[in-house]
Amino acid sequence: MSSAYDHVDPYRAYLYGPTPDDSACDWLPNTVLPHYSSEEAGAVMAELERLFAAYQAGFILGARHSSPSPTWRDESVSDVSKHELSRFATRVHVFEEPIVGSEHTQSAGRYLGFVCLRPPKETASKVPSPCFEYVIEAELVRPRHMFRPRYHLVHTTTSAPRLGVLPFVSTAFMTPRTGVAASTCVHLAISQALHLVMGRFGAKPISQREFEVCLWHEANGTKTIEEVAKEGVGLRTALKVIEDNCRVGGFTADFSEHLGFTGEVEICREAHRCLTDTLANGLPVILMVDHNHLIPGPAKRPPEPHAAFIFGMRLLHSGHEISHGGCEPGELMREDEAELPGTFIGHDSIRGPYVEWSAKHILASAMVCPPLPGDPEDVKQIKGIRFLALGPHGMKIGLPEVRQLAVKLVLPHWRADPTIYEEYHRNFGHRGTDANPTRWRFVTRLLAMHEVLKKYLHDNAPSSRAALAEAFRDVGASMSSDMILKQVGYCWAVELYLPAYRQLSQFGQDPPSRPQPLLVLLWSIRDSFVVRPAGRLCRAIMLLDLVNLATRPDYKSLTYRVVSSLP
Amino acid sequence: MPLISPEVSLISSWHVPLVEPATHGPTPPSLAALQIGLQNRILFHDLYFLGHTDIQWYKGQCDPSRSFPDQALKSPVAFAADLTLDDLKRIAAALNRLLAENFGGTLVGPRPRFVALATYWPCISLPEAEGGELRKQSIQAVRNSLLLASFLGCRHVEVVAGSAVPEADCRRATEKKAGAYRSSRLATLAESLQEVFINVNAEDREKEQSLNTLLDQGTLPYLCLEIEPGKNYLINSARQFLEFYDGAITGGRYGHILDRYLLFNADIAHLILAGSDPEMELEGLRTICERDLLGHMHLSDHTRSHAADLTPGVYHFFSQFCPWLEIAIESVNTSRVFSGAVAVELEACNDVNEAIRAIARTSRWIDACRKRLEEKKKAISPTADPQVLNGVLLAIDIGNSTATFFSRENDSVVARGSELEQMVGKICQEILLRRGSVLSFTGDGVIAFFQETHYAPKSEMFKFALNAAQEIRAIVDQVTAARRTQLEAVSPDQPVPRRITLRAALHQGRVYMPATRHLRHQAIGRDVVISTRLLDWISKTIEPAVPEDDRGIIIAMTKSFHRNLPPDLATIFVRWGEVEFRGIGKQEVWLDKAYVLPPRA
Repeated sequence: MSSAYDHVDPYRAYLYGPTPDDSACDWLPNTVLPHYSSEEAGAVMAELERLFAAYQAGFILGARHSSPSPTWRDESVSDVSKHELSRFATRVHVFEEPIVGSEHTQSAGRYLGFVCLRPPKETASKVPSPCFEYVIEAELVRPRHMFRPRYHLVHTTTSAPRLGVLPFVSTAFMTPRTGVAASTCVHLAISQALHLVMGRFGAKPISQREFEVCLWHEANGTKTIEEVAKEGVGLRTALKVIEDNCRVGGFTADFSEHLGFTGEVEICREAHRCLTDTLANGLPVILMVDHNHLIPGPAKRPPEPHAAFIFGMRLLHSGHEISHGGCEPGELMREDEAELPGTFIGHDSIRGPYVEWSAKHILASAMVCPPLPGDPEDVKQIKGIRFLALGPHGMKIGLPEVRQLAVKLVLPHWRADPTIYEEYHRNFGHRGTDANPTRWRFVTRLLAMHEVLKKYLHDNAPSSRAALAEAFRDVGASMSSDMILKQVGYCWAVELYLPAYRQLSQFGQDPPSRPQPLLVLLWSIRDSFVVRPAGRLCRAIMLLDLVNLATRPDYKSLTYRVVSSLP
Repeated sequence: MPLISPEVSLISSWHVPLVEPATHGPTPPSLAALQIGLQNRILFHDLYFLGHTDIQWYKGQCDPSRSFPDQALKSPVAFAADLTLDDLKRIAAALNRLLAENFGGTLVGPRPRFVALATYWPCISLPEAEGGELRKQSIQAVRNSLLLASFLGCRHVEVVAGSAVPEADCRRATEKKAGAYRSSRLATLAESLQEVFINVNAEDREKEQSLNTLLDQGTLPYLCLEIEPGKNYLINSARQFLEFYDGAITGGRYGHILDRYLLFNADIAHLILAGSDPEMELEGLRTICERDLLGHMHLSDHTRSHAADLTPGVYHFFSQFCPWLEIAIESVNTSRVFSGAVAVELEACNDVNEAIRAIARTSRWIDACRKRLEEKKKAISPTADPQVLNGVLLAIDIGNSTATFFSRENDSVVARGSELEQMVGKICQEILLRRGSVLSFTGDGVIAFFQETHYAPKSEMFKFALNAAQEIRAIVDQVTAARRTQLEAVSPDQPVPRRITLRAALHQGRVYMPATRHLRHQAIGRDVVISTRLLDWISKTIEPAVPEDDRGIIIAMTKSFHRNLPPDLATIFVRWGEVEFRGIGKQEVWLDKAYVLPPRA
C-alpha cells in the first residue's frame, strides 16, 4: 500500500475532492479552480501566492468546494450589486508542498489551513488591485519559522470548527469588503481579533459589516451607514460597540504626553512594555498607526490612520530593532528589558497574514498616527501611542493602569515597612534590600480567579479563600465567599520580583523552579476607577508573604492588605 | 395515547457544487444533493429552490423551445421569476420522477417526498429606491415557489425577509436612523408578501387563476418567514416576527390572506443565537405556538456566531436543544398548520455522511424528548391527529404470477424471484411517481395510499391514483411478453402460461396510520378493508366471467372515489351496482366499461 494513503494526519481528509458521497475522490491539479474563468483563476492563484508569501515555502491546493462564509454572507446580503453571485464562498484547503523524497509527505506536507474566496465575478480586474479581491477570509496556521521558541503568538483552536472544519491552531485573516469607497481597518481588525478570543473569553465574533451596522445603531440617528462605513471609529467607541454586541470587553491604552509620559522615548518604552505584556497575556491588540509610515509607498503620502492588528511578537531584541531603553555600557541588561520583543507580528490587509514589523518601526508609525474622526476631542491633537486590546467581558481597568498603580502602591509600602522585602532577600541568601526600585521587576498577568487561588494560595485553605473573598467583598454585600470569588471572574495580578532571585545560582543554592514573587497586587477587572482629589483610585489587594506561604509549613493563611479601596 | 414525533427532513442545500455538473462531462446536469440523499435512503427532503448551479437542470426540464433571458440563466431569482405555469408543472413532474427513480431505500413504506421548499429571495424587502426591479422579481419568485410547492404536494414554503441595512454602496441610503430604516423595510416586506397574491401583469393571469383555485380550496402552501440572527437582518427574533405579523395582517388589501397563510419558520440555531438570552426567544416561540403560527422548523448547530451550520450536538448539548424539540413535538400533536417535520439544515457541508449523522441524531433526540414529555405527563391534548389521514387506497393484485414465474420445476428460484421482484419494484415506482406510498406488499400485489394533503388541487389525487393503476398494466404486459418469449425459446414443446392479469380496487376514505410503535406507517381502518374486499370481489365475481384471453387489467372503484373523478375519466366507468362486503355492508361499485357484463336478469 502506498504510504501516500497511510498517514496519521487527519487533515489529509482535505486533500481530495470533495465529492459529496465520498465514493470517488479526485485530486485536482493545483491550478484548477473549476468555476473561475482562466483569467480569474490566474488572479486567484496570484492572490494565494501573496497570501502565503510569509510562509517562505511552496504550497499546494487540496479540496476545493462551496462553503458558507459569514463574512461573505454579510457582505453580499446588503449589496444589491452582488445579488447575482452565489451566496456561498469557495473554500480551498492548502497544504505545504511535499518534501521530495520524504516517505511521509509524498502527496502533501503539513496542513496550512483554508482560504475562503469570493465567488467568480466573470471578469478579473484589468489592473491588479493592491488589495485582496478574491480572498475574503482564511484560517491559517503559523509559518514554520514561527514555531521557533522566541515567537509568541496568540492563537485559537475554536475558529476553524465554527465553519465545520477539524480544529487546528490558527488565526483568522480577513480582508476588507469590496464595493464600498472606504472600509475602515478598525472594523476588520476587530473582527479578526474577536475570532482569536471567542474560545477563551466566549466572544461572539461578528463580521466587519455587522460591526458597521452595530456602529450605525450606536450613532443613534446622527449618521448614515455610509458615513459610518467611511469615517472609521475611535478606539473607545469601538470598545463600547463590542462590549454591547460581542459579549467581550477589553481596554484602551493611551501613552501620550498629557497623561504624564515625558517624551517619545518614555512613551515608546512604556507602550512597548505594555504591548508585550498584553500579548503575553494572550490578548490581541489593535494598534493605531500611520499607514503610510508603516507600509511606505513609492510616493510620499500624507499620514493616514490605520489599525494594525497585532497578535504576536518575537521576544528578545537586537539593538537595531528598538529605539529606546537598553542599558549603559558595562551594565547588565535587566531581564524585563532584555525580553522585550524586537518584532511584532500581525495581519495586514494588503501585505497579507503573519507580517513582521520591527518594534522600532511600528512604534514610530504609531507615534505619528493622525487622529481618527471618531476620536474624542481631548486626545485628537496629542502625540502618543494608542491601542485597544480585547479581553473578558466587563473589563473596566486595563493593563497599563494596573502596571502604573502597582508601582505607585509598592514604593510607599516598601518605604513604610521594609521588613518583608528584607525577608524576601534573606530567603534567597541576601542581606538588605535592593535599594533601587526601578530595577524591580513587575510582571502583569490576567488570571481567572480559580487560577489566582491555585497560583498564589498554595494551601487553598478555606481560611485563605475566605480572607481573599473578604478583601473583594463590596460594602454591604452579603454573599458567600465562594460566590464573591466567582463573581470576580478575572483579575489583573501584578507580581513583584526583586533582582535577588536571579542571582541564586551564583550563591550555590538550589533555586526553586518557579521563584515566588515578593508580593502580588490583585485587581478585579470589573472594579472601576474612582476619581478622588488625590487621583484615580481602584480597589487593589496586596497579597503578602507568598514566599513563606509557599515554603514554610507554619504559614497557614494568607496575609493580605487592601491597599486602595473603593468608597 | 402516545405522542407523535415529527419526521426529520434534510434541506437539499447541504450540497452546493462549485460548478454546474454538466460542465464536468457529457452527462446531463443533475440535482446531485437530492440524488445522493435519495440514494442514501433519506426519505424526507426540503427542496432548496434554487441554487446557482441548479439553473441548468431546471431549464432542462422546461419546454425545449423555451428561451430565457441571459440574466435568468445567471441569477436564481431572475430565473425563478421567469418561470411560467407550464414550466412549473414540468419541473414538478421531473422532481417527482427524480424522487421515484433515485430512492435507494425500500419501496414499501412511506414514500420519499418533499416536505417543504426552502427559498432565498432576500431582495423581497428592498425599497423601491434601492432595487425596485429586484423586489418585483422576488415577489414573482415567491409566487412561483408557492405554485411549485403545490405541484410537488408540499404545504410549506420558507422565505427570508432580507437585510435591515441599506445596500452596501450606500449612495441612496440617506436614512440616519437604523430603527426607521428597519421599519420602512418591514413595511416593504408586508407589501411585497401581499403582492404575491395580486396579479401584477397580464401574463400572470393563468398563475393567478391557479393561486385562486388553491386559495378557494384552502390548499395554498403556507409562507413561513424565517428568522436570521443579528442586527443585519430584518426578522431577527421571535418577538420581531410577531410584531411584523400583527402589522402585516391588519394592513393592506390582502392582509386577510396573510392572516391565513403567513407562518413562522423557527430556525433553532438562529433563535439560540438571536438574542442575548435564548430563554427569551424560547418564550417568543411558545407564544407563536400558542397562536398556532409555527409552520416549520429548521435544526442545526452554530458555534456562538452565525458562521456555518453544524450537526446538532457539535456545540450545544441535547439538554439545550430539548425545550425547542419539545415545542416541535407539541406542535405535531396540536397544530393544524405545522409541517410535521424538523428539517436538518447543513448548508454546503458537502458531505452526505455528515447529513446522515445529523438526521440520525435529530431523530434520536426527538425520540428522547417525546419520551421525556410522556414521562412528565405534560398535558398535551392533541387537537390535530396526523395519524388519521384522508386519501385514496389502491389495492392491486397480480393474477397468474405463480404460473408465469414458478410453474417449471427446473426454474431457478433466484432468477424468477428476481424477475418478479423487478416487476413489483417497477409497480411501486409507478405509484411513487404519482405521489402514492406503497403500504404493503402482499406477495403478488400491493396496497398503496395517496394522501390528500400531498395534492393541490385535491382532484389531482384521483387522477393520479387512477393513472397509476392504468400505467401498471404496461409494466405487467412487458414482463409477460418477455417471459413468454423466454419460455418459448427454452422449451417450445411446453404450454406457455397465460398472460399476467391485474385487478385494481380504488376507494377514497380515511385510514389510521400509526406514526410510532411497531406498526408504524401501516394503514388500519374500515376503508382499508373496503379496498381489499373490492379486490376480492373483482377476483371472485368479475374476473371469472371474463374470457381468459381478454383479461387485462380490471379496475373497480367505490362511489366515494368515482364521484371525485373529473367527467372525462368518470365516463370510462359505469355503475355496476351495490355489493355486499362482509363485515362492511353494501357499497356502490363502479367498473371499467370494458368489463361490464350484460345486465343481470
